[in-house]
Amino acid sequence: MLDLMRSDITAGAAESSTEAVARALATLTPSDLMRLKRLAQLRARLLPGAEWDELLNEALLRALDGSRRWPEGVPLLTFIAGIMRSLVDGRVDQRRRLVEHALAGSELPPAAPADMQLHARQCLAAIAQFFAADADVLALIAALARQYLGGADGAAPRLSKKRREAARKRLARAILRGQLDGFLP
Amino acid sequence: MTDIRDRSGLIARWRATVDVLEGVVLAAADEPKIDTTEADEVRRLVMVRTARRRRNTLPAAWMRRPGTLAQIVPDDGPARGATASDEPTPRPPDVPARPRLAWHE
Repeated sequence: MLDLMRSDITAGAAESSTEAVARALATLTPSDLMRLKRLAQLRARLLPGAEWDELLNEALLRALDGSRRWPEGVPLLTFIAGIMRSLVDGRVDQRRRLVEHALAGSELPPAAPADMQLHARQCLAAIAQFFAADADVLALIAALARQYLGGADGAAPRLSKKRREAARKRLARAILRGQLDGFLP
Repeated sequence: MTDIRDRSGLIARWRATVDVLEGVVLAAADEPKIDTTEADEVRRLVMVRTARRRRNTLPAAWMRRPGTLAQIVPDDGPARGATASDEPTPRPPDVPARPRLAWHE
């Protein structure tokens, strides 16, 4: 499953990253493939109009043509997820630059594209609605998101380790079964 | 990547949420309930990509080079550059139309 590490696959140091990726991809289980799809679906949600299969396809292309090297010790799915993240970040950046360029002559302050803000608002609202009956999951998401944003884990004291783990399992189940993706705009 | 121009912070918050959800998927210990249709869909995508890579990384000797076929099977007409002079190659005389066969009538 997730222990598909580069070091497990490579026969020697001389073997290229792309060969290792191709071989590892061939050994992915149905469970891994499902995870890959969910990861692509989640990442594609950052960009309004982006399609998960196109994003995954492009990430695979980068991994297989050698433009992204698979580092030693990194699980394959983490590696592919990282490529998708940087691809989406690049496109978000590109959109922002376009907006900035368009506004360069005007007196309006530069801002993030309006469609992305609206999309972000709708997605956050959809998650809040989806887990409306599960306060622990919402608290867990909020706490972890704050960590990603560089803040403190404010909700941690409210949840015991046991409740936290149970919430994490429920959250994982909802994502892996595709229930959450079907709910997002 | 927090965008300082994302004044409401919505985009940054949504991105952080996606990072959280991605982390949960990667760390999930449970085997997800497999939908074979979905898994097959992703496998097809992976196989197509891997097959294309295989085709692109064939040894150079296996690749058809431009002109190779012409050397083996020359064209009916004179090969380009075969004549040393700059004079245009004379056009072949018009071939008269073949009489239609009787059974066509």
